[in-house]
Amino acid sequence: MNPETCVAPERAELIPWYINGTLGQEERRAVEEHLAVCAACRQDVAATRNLMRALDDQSPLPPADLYARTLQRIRPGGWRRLADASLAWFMPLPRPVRIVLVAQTVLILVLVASLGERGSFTTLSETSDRTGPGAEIQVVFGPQVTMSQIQGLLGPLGAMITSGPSSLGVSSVLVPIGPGHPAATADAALRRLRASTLIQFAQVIQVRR
Amino acid sequence: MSANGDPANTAERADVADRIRRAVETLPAGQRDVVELTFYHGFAYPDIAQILRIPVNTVKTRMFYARKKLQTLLEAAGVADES
Repeated sequence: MNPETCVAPERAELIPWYINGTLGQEERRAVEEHLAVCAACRQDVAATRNLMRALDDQSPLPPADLYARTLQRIRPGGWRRLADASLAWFMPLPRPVRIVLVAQTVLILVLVASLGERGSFTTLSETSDRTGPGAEIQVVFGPQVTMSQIQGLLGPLGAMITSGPSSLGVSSVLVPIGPGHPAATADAALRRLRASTLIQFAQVIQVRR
Repeated sequence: MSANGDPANTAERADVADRIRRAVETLPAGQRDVVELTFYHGFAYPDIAQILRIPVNTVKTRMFYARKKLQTLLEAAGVADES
């Protein structure tokens, strides 16, 4: 890489994101105009593409368009298509059969709800545990990860999701640390999370005392 | 047989990729995060700044030093002149 020999380092430093295709139109045009006159940066583009290709060759991680595909999947229209697909078996049934199935489902739900009335519960606005000590870690879960898998991962750590996922797919997780907890330190908690194949990215943001 | 289909060529590329991969793992955590979010996950640099809660200029600086180190390894592996 040659930004040091380039007369416009503010353009040269954008080359990685020029290559991964995430620059805005204006920045992209500025980089392209610069490349037309800067041999050092053209060489840098070729070298960085080689670097990206070498990383891709063995990367066990998802491809670079994961984010775009994840956004596509969670757009509202996606849920509607999922609902339509889920009801595809139901609609062709004769009307009497559909009525009986709906009635049975309602009855089962009422019975299950009555059984759960005596159980303990917490409200969604309950926040006492969310302000306790621990390591606040930002994570990006894999695209196919289910809620039960997340519970299976975070449960043994005593961890909980405190916010997210954001529009970027990032969730904040609070992991209790210290004596008496599965993870003694923030680093240990981070290692446990990074060791899981369910998580694509994890980074400690802060340690709450 | 094309160069890409040559078993020896494929093995050489895999070896280079393996060395690069290990080099990424030796980067300081801050630089490694920026490299992985850029090249593996395809994030824009403002998004990376938001995810890591650091200024965008810090994202660029970390990438600069990370690439410098990784590029040295690529040149040593003899693949820097390919296009």
